[in-house]
Amino acid sequence: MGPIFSTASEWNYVIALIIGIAFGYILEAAGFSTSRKLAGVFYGYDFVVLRVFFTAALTAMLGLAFFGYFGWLDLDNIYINPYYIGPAIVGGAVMGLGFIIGGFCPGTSVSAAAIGKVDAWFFLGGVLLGALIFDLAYPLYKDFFTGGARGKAMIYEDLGMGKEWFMLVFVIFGIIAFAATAIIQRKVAKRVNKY
Amino acid sequence: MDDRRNFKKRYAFVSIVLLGLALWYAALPEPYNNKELKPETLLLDVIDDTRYVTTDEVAKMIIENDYYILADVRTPEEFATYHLPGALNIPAAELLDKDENGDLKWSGVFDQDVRKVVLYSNGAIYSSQAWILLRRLNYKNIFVMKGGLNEWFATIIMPKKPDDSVADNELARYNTRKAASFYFTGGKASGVDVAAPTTDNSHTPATNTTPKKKEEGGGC
Repeated sequence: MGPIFSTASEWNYVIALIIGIAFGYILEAAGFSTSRKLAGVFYGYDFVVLRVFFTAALTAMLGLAFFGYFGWLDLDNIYINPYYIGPAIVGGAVMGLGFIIGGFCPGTSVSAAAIGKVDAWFFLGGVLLGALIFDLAYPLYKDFFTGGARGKAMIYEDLGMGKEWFMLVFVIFGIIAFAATAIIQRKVAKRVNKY
Repeated sequence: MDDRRNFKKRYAFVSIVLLGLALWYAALPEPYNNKELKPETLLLDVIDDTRYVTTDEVAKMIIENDYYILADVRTPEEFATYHLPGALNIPAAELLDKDENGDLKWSGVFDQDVRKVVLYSNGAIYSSQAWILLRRLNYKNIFVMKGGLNEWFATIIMPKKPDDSVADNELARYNTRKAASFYFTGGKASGVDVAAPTTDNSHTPATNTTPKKKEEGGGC
C-alpha cells in the first residue's frame, strides 16, 4: 500500500500542507495553543499535553508496526532522524527551557500565532532570532553538533530485546504515565485550592 | 466528580485498546518475509550486470589471496572432478536448506558484508539462478563469475595468443593470463607455452606484475 505517493512526487508538498493544517488544527482543538496548558506539565497542574503526545506516540507506534507486519507499509521508507548523543541531550534541555519560559513548543507557537495570540507572535520572533544566532554561531560548536553520531539508533536494539517486547513495555509505561499524571494533577490541584 | 469518572473511563478504554494491540502484536508469529528484497529492486538488479566478476578478476583474487569466498554451485560429483582452488561446494539445490534450528543453513557464508561471495557453475545459468535466490534474501555481497568455468578454461587455463596487431594492453592481459595459467596448472595445461611469458614480448610489461586494477566488479 504505502507509500501513497512516491518520494519524488511534487504532490509531496501538497500532502505536507494538508498534514500540516490538520496538525495545527488538532493542536488548537486540543487546547495546545494555550501556554498555561503547556507550562502546566512542568508545574504539575495539567498533564493533558503529555497524555495527548503519549496517546499519539503509542497509536502511531502500534499502527506502523501492524502496517509493516501485514506488508501494507514498507518501514524502510520511513525516515528516522539520525541520533547524536551529546547534541540530543543539550538540544533537549534547551528546548525544555524554552518550553517552560515561553509556554509554547515551536509547533504550538505557530498555531497560537495563527489564532492571534500576541505572546505567540513574540515567541515566533524569538524562534526566528534564535535560529539566526544559531546559524551565525554554528562554526563555534560545529564539532560538538555533529559529534557522537549513531545513525539510525533503535532503543530496542541497544537493549537487546525484540521490537514487539519493547512495544509492550512502552505501552505499559504509557499507561503508568496516564495514571501517575492523574494522581499528581489531583494532588497539585488540592494544594492550589488550599491557598 | 462526574467529569472525573468520565475522564477515567476514557483513559481506561484507551489503555485497554493499546495494551490489547501490543499483546496481540507480541503474540504474532515472526513475519515470514520481513527481510526479502522488494520485487522492484530485485528486477532492477537482475538487468544490472554489476553482479559479474570476470575470470581475470577471480584469478587475481585467488592469486593475491584477496578477501573473497568462492562458491561452487554445481553438484558434488562435478565439484570432485574439478573446482577452483579454495572453493566451497554449495550445490544450487541446497542453497535454501535449513539447519535444525530452522535457520538458513548457508546464511553464515552468504549473509555478510565482509567478503565478496563469487558464485560459479559451468556456464553462468546456474550461478545466476543461485544469485537471484540469494539476492532475493537481500544478501548484499553476492557476485557471479562471468561465463563460469567454461570461460575460466578459455581465458585463464588455456588463453589464446592474440594477433601481433592487437594493442599492448591486450598482449599484457594475455601474458597475465598465461602466468595465471601456470599458477593454476603448474604448466600442465596443454597448449600453454609456460616459458614464453618470460622470454618474448619484452616491450610489454613484465608478466609477474599484477594487471592494472580493473574496474570493480560491482558492489554496494
